This record gives sequence, C-alpha cells and structure tokens, in this order.
Amino acid sequence: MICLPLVRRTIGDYRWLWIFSAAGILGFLILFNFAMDAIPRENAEVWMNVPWIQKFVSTLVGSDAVLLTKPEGMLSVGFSHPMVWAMLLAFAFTAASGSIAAEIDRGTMDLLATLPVSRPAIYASTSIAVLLMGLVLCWMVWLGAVVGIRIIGVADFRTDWMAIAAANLCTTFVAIAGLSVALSAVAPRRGLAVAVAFGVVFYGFVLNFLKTMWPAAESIAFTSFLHYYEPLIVMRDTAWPWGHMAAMTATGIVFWTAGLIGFCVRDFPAR
Amino acid sequence: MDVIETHRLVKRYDDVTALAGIDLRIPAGAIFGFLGPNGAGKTTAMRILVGLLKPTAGRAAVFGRDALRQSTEIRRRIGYLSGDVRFYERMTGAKLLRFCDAIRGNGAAAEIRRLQRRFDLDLDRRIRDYSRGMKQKLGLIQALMHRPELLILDEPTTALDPLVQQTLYDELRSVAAEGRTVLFSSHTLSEVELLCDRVAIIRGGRIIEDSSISELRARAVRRVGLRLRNGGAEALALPAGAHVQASHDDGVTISWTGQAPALVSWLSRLDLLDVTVGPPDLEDLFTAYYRDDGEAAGKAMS
Repeated sequence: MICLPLVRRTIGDYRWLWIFSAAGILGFLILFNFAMDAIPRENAEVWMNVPWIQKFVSTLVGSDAVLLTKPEGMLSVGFSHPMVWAMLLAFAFTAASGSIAAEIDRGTMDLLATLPVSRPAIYASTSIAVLLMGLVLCWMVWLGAVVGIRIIGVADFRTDWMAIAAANLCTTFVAIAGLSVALSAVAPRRGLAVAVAFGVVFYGFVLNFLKTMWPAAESIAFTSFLHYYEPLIVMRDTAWPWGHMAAMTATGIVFWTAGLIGFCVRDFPAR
Repeated sequence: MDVIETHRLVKRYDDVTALAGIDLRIPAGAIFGFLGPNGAGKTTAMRILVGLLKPTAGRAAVFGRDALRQSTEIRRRIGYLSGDVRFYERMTGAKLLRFCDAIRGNGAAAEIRRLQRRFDLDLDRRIRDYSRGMKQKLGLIQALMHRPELLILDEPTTALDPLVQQTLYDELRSVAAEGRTVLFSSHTLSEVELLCDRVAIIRGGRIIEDSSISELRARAVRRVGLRLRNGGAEALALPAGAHVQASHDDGVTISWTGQAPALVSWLSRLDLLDVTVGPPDLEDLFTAYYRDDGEAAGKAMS
C-alpha cells in the first residue's frame, strides 16, 4: 500500500518548506516565552480586565482570558498564536494541497499514474509523508515552549501538560490535512483546492471570533475546527480532551477516505 | 494472442464524445500505427489503455486483463510516453530514472546506461535545463528502460531531430523483433509507412480504417504515365479504377487504384512507346481520410 520511493520523493519535495516552518515555529515559541516572561504579571491582570481585550484574547485561546494571568494561561497563547497557525497552515495548504493537485497541475501525474503503483498507494504514500511532516511541526510547538520555559526558568511548571495541548494540536492538524489532501485529490486545479481549504479554515477562525461577540454563533460553533482545539482549557484542567481529539481524528479520516475514493475514480485527461 | 483488445470503447466528456465505440485488436509483436487528425481520439484511447481515463462504455483489455480494474498489473508490463511529456523539473535526468526504476523494483540500471548512450543524453543535468527534445529523449528512455512487453507511445518523435528519430526507429524495430509490441500515434505518414505492420486511422472518435500497410498500398493511388504511339488519349478505353489526370500531345497521365495484374493486363493491350508506374501514394489516401469526406474516401477505395 505504501510506496517508499514516493514517500521519500514527497518528503524531498517539501523538505525546505518543512525545515523553515519547523525552525520558525521553534524559534518563535522560544522568543514568545521570553516576551511573556518580560511582561509584569500585574500589567497582564490590568489588561485582562479591559472587556474588549478579554474578548479578543478569548477568541484566540478559546477560553476565558482571565486565566491568562496564570503561567499556564500565558504559555498557552503560544499554542494558538496567529504566527504558529500561519506556519502550520502554510505547510498544510502547500504540502497537503500540493501532494496530488500539484502533480496534475504540472503534468507529472501522467508519469506517476502510469508507473506500476496503484492509485491508493499514490494517495496514501504522498499524504502519509505530508502528515508525518506536519505532526512533527505540531510537536515543534511543544518543543519550543519547553525549551523557552527551561531557558527562562518558570518554577514548578509541568511541561507534560503542554504535551496534551500538543497532542490536541496534532489531531486538529490531522483534520485540516485530511481536508486539504482530499480537496487536492479531487480538484481539477491546485489553486481551487487551496482556495476551498483556506475558505473552510478561515470560516473556523471567523466563527470562533464571532461566538464571543454574538451568542447566536455559539450554536453552530461545533462546525469550526477551533471548537475542538482549546489549549488553555487543556492546560488548565490537565485533562485529555478525548472527545475533541476523537472528533478531529475522525474528521480527518473521513476527509482522507473521501479523497481516496475520489482520487481512485477520477480521470486524468490530456492537458 | 492479441496484446490489446478494445470492444465498443466509448469515452464522453460532458457533451463531447471523444471515442464513439472503437474496436481495436493489436497482436503481439506488431508495430501498430495510430493515425488521425488532432482531436480524433488517439490520445484518449491510449490513456484508457494505460489507466489514466475510465471508459464511459465498452471494454479495453491489455494482455487479456481489464485496463480499468487490473491497471496496476498491466502497468508493470508496459512503457508509456505521454504526448506532452512533463517531469519533476528540479530532479536531474538520472534521479528521475532512478525514481522510476525504484518504483518498478530496480534492475534497469544497465538498460538505462545503454539507452543513455544510444540517445546521447546528459543525465546529470537538471530537467529544467533540458530542451524540449532532451525531455522527449528522457521520456523515451523512461518508457524503454525496463524492457516492457508493450510500448504505448503518443507521438514519440515530436521534437526529435532526424538522427534521433532514426535511433528510435531502430529501437522500435528491435523491440518488435524480440516479440514485444509497439503502439504509437503519429502525424507523420512516412514514419508509419517505414515502421508499421498495421495501421488504424481514427477520425471523430471512430476507427475508419484498420489495415496492414501492404493492404493499404494495394489500395493506394499509383501515377501511371503513358506515351502512346498514336499520341491521342481520346481513344483510350479506361478500365475501372483508372482516371485521366492530365493529357499531353503524345500521351496521358492517369491515376490508378487497384491491383497491379489488372493494370499490367490493360497496359499490354495498348500501343505504347513508354510507360512509367509510380509507387503507391499513401499520402493521397491518408489525406482523403483526414479530410471531412474521409469516411466516404475509405469506402470508395475499399
């Protein structure tokens, strides 16, 4: 089912993007912890009492912003920071959307699909390569936070709590990557696949923002992937969010399977 | 045994019918030419055979296996060159061939070296630095390197210079001599005539001719120049299949479609000073097929 030369080639294709993303996430999280440590706790408490800042930060971390005055709260912001999302999503959209659709766009699918490797194997090999690379990026968030904490020396902070948040981030990435790979496998062009994937993720961010301003949006919040990723709550409660993680993993598997079926039955007409 | 067999193969894209029910049988060891104007359906038929397209109706079998359901097994035994070759531009030629070889299970290194020398291609350069002709050579090496039982080549001589074309012809002849099969599409009549045992002409998604080259030659027009002792052509009683093309003071040029013995028999009854008989002109035959009245031309000539 898995074609190792294809896995290696896919990793080779996206290695530079992956290395820069990994280094970027790691470096950003370390610097972010330094920055958070430099903010006096009293100032943070004053800011968190300003209503619009509370709401804004709540949308970012998916929980009550007042919790941010605690060390785990401040550190959890790094797990949802727009910079981290930007790098993770850039990788997901570029690599996952590109894994199949880029082959079609550049015309190399004619070569690949006529070699003796089945379509399920092409799909599985490319998407597993992308998924493995993406999961490593998710753990870079954890690694950056851990290194940052070690350097600044936060006392009595258990880093294994952050591992739970990182695991939650992994399942969220599985869902986003599953969607991106599926769109890549069935879309006629890469641009369309990326645009739709971006639209779905953007909808998640917008809905997450709206639900803090507009209570009616809360009723459909479950349709946003951010509903299933709340690092602050995870770190506050230090409990595994099994339900959310299962929902994201299942979503990823459903999208991935739909993409597999679509890819196996589609045509590759001459360009 | 037929290596390729299609039965009422149909392919539709929305409102467009690319193939309207083609029946094709290609025996093992043949070099089979696939001719037709642009958009006739040649590429669509080839892409169905290699599993890139699903037929809308009908059946396509390669090595007796279903081209859709058993495509992976079939692809182990074929070499395919797309009509519009595209590769991973950042790879070198050597890396691309190693990648293809790895997927095929390795073992083609010696053949790659032989073909590289044969086609005189620098495999250490990045593909993005290759010219169109070099990419075509790389595509041919990729299709040939594992010594496939069946080669499916979509306009393989595109962008190749005459010397490389000759090299390719030699390779294809040796492939056929080993009992392996070649199906290739072309617009160049001379290479089809030169190489093929058999040819199918496709137009508007239908096979309008499927014959051996020798059968086509027998039906092709010959130019016959006659110098008559009495000069005038008026008195000539032309047999069926002969048409006057031009009259001169001392003779006439006629076009002849038919069997050679009938022509010789008719000529023997004439009072001739001289006679010249040209080779069968397939160009006219194919041009007639390519034109709108191709089907009518096919019927008239058969």
